Amino acid sequence: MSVSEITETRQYLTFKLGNEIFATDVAKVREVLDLTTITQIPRTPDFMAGVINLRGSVVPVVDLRLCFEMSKTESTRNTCIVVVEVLLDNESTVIGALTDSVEEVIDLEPDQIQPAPRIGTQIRTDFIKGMGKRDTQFIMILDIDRVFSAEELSAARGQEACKSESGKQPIEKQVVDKLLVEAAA
Amino acid sequence: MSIASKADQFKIAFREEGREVLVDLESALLELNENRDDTELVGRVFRALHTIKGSGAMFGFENLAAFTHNLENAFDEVRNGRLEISSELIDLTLSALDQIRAMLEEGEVGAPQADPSARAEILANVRHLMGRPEKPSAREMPAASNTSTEAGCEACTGIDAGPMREWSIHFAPSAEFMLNGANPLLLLRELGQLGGLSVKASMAAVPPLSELDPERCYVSWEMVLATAADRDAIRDVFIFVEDCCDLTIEAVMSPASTADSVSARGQASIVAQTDSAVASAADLTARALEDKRATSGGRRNYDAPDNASSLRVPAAKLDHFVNLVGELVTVQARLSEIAAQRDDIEIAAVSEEIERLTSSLRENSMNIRMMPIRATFEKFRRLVHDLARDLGKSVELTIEGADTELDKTVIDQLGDPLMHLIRNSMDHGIEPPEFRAARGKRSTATIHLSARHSGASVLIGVSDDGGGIDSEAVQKRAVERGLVGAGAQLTESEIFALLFQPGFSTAKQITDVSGRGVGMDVVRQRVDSLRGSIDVTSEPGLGTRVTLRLPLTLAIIDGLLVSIGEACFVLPLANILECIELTCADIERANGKHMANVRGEIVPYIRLREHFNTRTPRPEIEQIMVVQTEQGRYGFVVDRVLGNCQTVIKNLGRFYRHVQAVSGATILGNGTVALILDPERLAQDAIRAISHNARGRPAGAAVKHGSGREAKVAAQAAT
Repeated sequence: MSVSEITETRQYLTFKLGNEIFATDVAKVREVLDLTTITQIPRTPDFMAGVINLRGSVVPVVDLRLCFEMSKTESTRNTCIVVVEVLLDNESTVIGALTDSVEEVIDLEPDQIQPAPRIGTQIRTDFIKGMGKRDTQFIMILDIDRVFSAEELSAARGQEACKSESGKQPIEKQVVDKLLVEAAA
Repeated sequence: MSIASKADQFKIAFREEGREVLVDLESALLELNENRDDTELVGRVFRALHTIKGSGAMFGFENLAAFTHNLENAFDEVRNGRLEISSELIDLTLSALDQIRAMLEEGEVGAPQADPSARAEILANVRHLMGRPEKPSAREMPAASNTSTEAGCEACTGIDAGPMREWSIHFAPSAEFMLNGANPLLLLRELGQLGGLSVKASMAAVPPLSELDPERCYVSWEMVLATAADRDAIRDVFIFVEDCCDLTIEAVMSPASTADSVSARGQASIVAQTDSAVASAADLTARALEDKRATSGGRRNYDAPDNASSLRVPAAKLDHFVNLVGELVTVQARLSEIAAQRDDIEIAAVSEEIERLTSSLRENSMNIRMMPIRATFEKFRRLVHDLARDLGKSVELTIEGADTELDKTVIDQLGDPLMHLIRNSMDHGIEPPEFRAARGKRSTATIHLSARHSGASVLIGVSDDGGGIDSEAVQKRAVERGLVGAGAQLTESEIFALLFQPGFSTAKQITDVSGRGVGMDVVRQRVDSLRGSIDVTSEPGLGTRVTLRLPLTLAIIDGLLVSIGEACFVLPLANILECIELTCADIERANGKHMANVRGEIVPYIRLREHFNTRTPRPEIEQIMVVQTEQGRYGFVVDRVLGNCQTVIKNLGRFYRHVQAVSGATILGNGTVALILDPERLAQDAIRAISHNARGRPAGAAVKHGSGREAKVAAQAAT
C-alpha cells in the first residue's frame, strides 16, 4: 500500500522509538500492554524478543528498535507492547511490538500525509506508508504488514541459513553464508 | 424453530451418516472383489445400499434414492444367485458410489459435481450386466420440476409395485403444529394420493370455545390407507413434521396381502417423537434396519460398530471442550503455586484434590479425541485398487495396527501425506507384473500400511516390496538440479532426504499419478507442521519403507519442568529416562569431554546453558536429563529440575515456526511462558552446532535440505 491509497481520514496510534514518532493504523492495533515478562527463545535473532502470555495465549514480541537498526529497547516505565494483528502471507497473525512509549491516537486527513522520501530516513522506505505532518513534527506511518513480513523472512533466514533463496548459489557460498550467520548469532 | 431449518438439520444428519455408510460400502466392495463368494459381504453391500436408499428418500434426496435403488436391485440379484460378481460390477458400483457421494454432497461448498449423464450411463451398464432391457427411465430420474415430497413419493410408489396393503395411521399433531406453519390438511391430501384413504378425525381434545386458541391444533386423525407403497413412502409424507407430531404407522392384516412378508413383519411400529434431529435420524435408521432384518428372518445386523453405546459429537464442540480443559490445567497450576506459598493445610488439601481431578479430567478429555487410524487406512484400499487397475499392476494392500489410536487432529492431517506416499510407491516403487515375475518375485506386489506407538509418538509406516530407490539416479538428478555438488559423497539418508525437495522427481515422464515432484514435498510440509519426522529406508530390488514419526497428541502432555539460568523449560516426560547429577568434579574428571558414565554406559551430553548462551553463573551441581532419541541416548544438562507438570501446548505461531528445538510453549502457574523443548530436534540442532564449532571451516560439499532440520552440512563428506 502506498500513500496514494490513503483517501480518507483515518485514526492512527502514535508511538515513539527513541526520539522518532511512528504511527500505525488504529485498525491494526488490538491493544496496548505494559511491559510484562518476555520469555526469550534461545538461538533466535535478537530482534525477536521472545513470547508473552496474553491472557492465556502465547504471542511473539518483536523489538521494533532492532528492526529499524536502533539499539536494543531498554525497559523503562514507559515501555509498552503494542499488540497488532498483521497479515503474513494472507494469514492473520497477532504480534507484539516493543516500543519506547505510546503517545496518542490522532486523526490525519489524506492531505496531511505525504509520500515517504526516498532518502533521509534511517529505516527502509518500503516500510513507510507515508509521512504525516502534525504541528512541526513528522510522523512516520508504518506499513506494519510489510515490516513484519520482512522480519519474518529474515527470521527464516537466520534459522535456515543454509536454505538460500535462489537455489542456484554454489554450495560453498551457502555454507560460508551459513557459518557467517551462525557466527553472528 | 422453523420447519425449513429442521429439514436442513435432517439433511445434515443424513449427510454425516451417509458418508459413514459409503465408507463401509466402499471397503465391503473392495473386499468383495477379493472374495467373490462371500455372501456375508454381498449382504453388507446390499444393506449399505439399502440404508442409503431408505434414508435418502426419507430426507428428501430423491434422485439419490432412486439411483441407489437400481444398484440395490443388482445386488439383490447377486444375493439371489442370479447375477455373478464380476470386476465390471465392482467397478461400476464403485463409480456409482462416487456419484452417490457427489449427490450427497451436492450444495456443499467445494463438493464434486454430480453428473446426471454419468449416472445414466452407469445405470445402463448395470442393467446390461443384469441382462435386462432398457426400462423407461422415469423411475431413475424423477423430474426435477416436481416438488420434493411428491417426487419422493413417486419414486417410492414406483418401486416394486408390491401387493396392496392396508396401513393404519395415527397422526396426532402437537398443539404448536400450526404455529410452525404446517398444514395438516395438505398432509392428508398427500396421503390420499398414495391410495385409498379413509380418515376419521378425533375431536376429543377440542376445548370449549371460551378456551379455544384458534392458532393451536387440537385435532388428531385416525386413518386407514390402502396402498402399494411401503412404510418409507408413507413416512415420507410426514418427513418435515415428524418431530412435532405423534405418528404411528402400522400394517393391518388384509386379505389382499400374501400372508408371508407382512406377517413376518408383524406389528413393527414406528413412533417418531424426538426433538433432536440427530437422535431421530439415528433412531429412524436403526428402526428401518431392524425392520429390514425382521423381514428377512434374522439376517445379521449392519456391520458398523453399534451406535447404541456411542454418540456422535461435532468435532468443534470437542475442540472447545479440550481448550477449556487446557485453561483449567493452567489455572490449576496457578492454584498449586499459591497453595505452596501459603502455610495453610486446608488450601493445600483442596489444591491437591483439584490437581488430582484436573489430571484425570485431562487424561479423559484427551482420550475422547483419540481415534483409531483404521478409517484412514481403509480409505486407501480404494486408491490402491483404482491405481493398480490404471497402472496395469497387481497390488495388494495389507494393514497392520489399524486400531492404533491417535489424536483426531493428527489423523485429519495424515490422509494427504499417506496418499502421496502410496501413489509414489505404486507408480515408482512397484514394478510391472512381468518384470516382477522375471525377477522371481510374486507377481502381486504388496503395500503395507502400519501404525504403532513408540513413547509419546506414533510410527506410521508405508512400505512396498517394489524396486527400491535408485540412489544413484536420485543423486544424479540432484547434481543436475544443482542441489548438491558433483562428486559429493552423500550418505543414504542424505540422498533420501533429497526426495522431499519441492519439485524433485526422477520420473522420466509425468504421468497422471506422479512425477511432478509435488507429492513428497506435501508429505514433508505436512509432517513438519505436525512436528513429526520422516525416515526412509530402501533396499535396491527389495522395496522401500517410509516411516512417519508423529506426536501422539497436539494438545496436552506430561512434562518435566526444568530451569536454565532464569528461564524455565519443559521436557516431555515420555522421552526422559532418568535424571542424574553432574558436579564440577565430574566435569573436571572428564577432561572437557561431554560424556557421562551412566552405570557403565557412556552417554554424551549437551550443556543447554552453553547451547542457549545463558550468561548467568552456573550452579555447583547441575542435572543431566537422560533422554531417548532416535539417534540414541543423550543427556541434556540443565540447572535445576523443578518438578512434574501438566503442559498445555500452545503453538508458538508463524513467527517462530523456524525454531526447531522448541516444539511449543506453555503458560506456567505464575503466568510466565515456558518453552517446551523437542528432545529429538534439540539433539540434532546441538550436534550440528558442535560439529560446526569443532571444524571451523567449511567442507567440500553440502546437502541443501529443504526443511533445514537435518541439514547435516557436509559432516560426513569431510571425514
